[in-house]
Amino acid sequence: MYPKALTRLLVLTGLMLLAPGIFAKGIYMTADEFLQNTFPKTQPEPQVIWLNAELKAEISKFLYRPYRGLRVRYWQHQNRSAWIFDEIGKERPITIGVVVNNQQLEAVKILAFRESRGGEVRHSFFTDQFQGVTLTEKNKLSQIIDGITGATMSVNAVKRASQLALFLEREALNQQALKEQSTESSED
Amino acid sequence: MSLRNSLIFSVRWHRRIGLVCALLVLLLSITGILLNHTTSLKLDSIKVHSPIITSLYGLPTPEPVSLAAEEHWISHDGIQQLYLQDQAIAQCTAPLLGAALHQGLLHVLCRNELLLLSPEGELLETITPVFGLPTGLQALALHNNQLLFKTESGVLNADLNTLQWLPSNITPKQWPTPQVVPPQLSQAVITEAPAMDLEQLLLDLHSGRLFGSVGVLVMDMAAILLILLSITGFIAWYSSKQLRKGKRR
Repeated sequence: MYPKALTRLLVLTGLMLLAPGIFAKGIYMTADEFLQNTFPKTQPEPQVIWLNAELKAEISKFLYRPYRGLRVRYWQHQNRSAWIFDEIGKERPITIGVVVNNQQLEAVKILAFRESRGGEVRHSFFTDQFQGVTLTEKNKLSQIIDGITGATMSVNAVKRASQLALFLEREALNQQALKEQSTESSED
Repeated sequence: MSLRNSLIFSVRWHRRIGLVCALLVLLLSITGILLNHTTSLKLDSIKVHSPIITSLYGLPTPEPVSLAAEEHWISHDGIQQLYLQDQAIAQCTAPLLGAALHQGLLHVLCRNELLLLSPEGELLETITPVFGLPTGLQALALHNNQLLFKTESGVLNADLNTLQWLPSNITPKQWPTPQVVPPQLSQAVITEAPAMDLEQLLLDLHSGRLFGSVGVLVMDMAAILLILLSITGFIAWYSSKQLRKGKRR
């Protein structure tokens, strides 16, 4: 009786230990699928926002690290824009897709998760919290996002990516407005 | 099962389990004690230089290489660091596969990364597979002002404005290949042999991660065996206590 019970206990415990590790890592959605879902009718061409030293300094304040690069790609159609970032949770980058609609978060999707722990951030019970969130004047998210026990660093990475998308969308709109203004004035 | 049988069974299994997990328990205990005193022992500042350890971690062997992009020399230390002439400018994962100056920008191809840099070496953008960079690119060449990429199945022509990669019939005369770092730059492209923190090493030994997922499973098994050891130990103690009580009566 005992050996049988012991074998069952071992198998069950082994499965319980393996399960989170197996299911946490993975590519859940490719960038193409994310863009296809975001813009089902016509996929816009990628656009570029340029970052000057001032913008990079602002970004580094909420990313808590310097931003590498001088420009960022994004996709925009009318008031909606899609952004894809690689943000490190603990050790490895999490690929996060963010959709912004009229300066409000419309959707946050985890495209790829490579860490061994914290994969719960991909679930809709977490990502749905971001819907309708805006950016405050101090570049913070306008609503409190509930964390997940044991996934704090991944949660923070998703929050940072959302902040970055909102911040860059605001800057992209500003840059577009300036461009239009200068075009109008040159036409006059 | 009688108390006597229960005692015999638990003692027998207690011994067997103890024997199986003895070495692992020793490893867990020693690494655990050391990790408890990481700060006072300054384990994070002790570097372990060992080819066996670096191969277990899959760290690349540093092999510095250089490529010429017109008048620019692009070098890579063989691990992560990229150089423009003698200046460290950015990081990308080895190997360095190609470099070209195109439309006023330096294009540097590393493994699964295409770096766009200003001629002064300032990083503009990193294009990764997330942004459609095809995986398995092997080389980069400039031909008639077109940026061409060599893949296993043919040549791709890249339009980096629209991030489109289209098959091309053009084959450049030569795909530039990385070469030995020129003598005038060899001092700048310093390559330190990769080393691991002792703290990280102990952590990975403790968790079994040093030996990959199998190591983790072995350590999990050791932990389960320790649980069973305590259960069989308790049963043995309880059974012998009850037996002694019975004898006294």
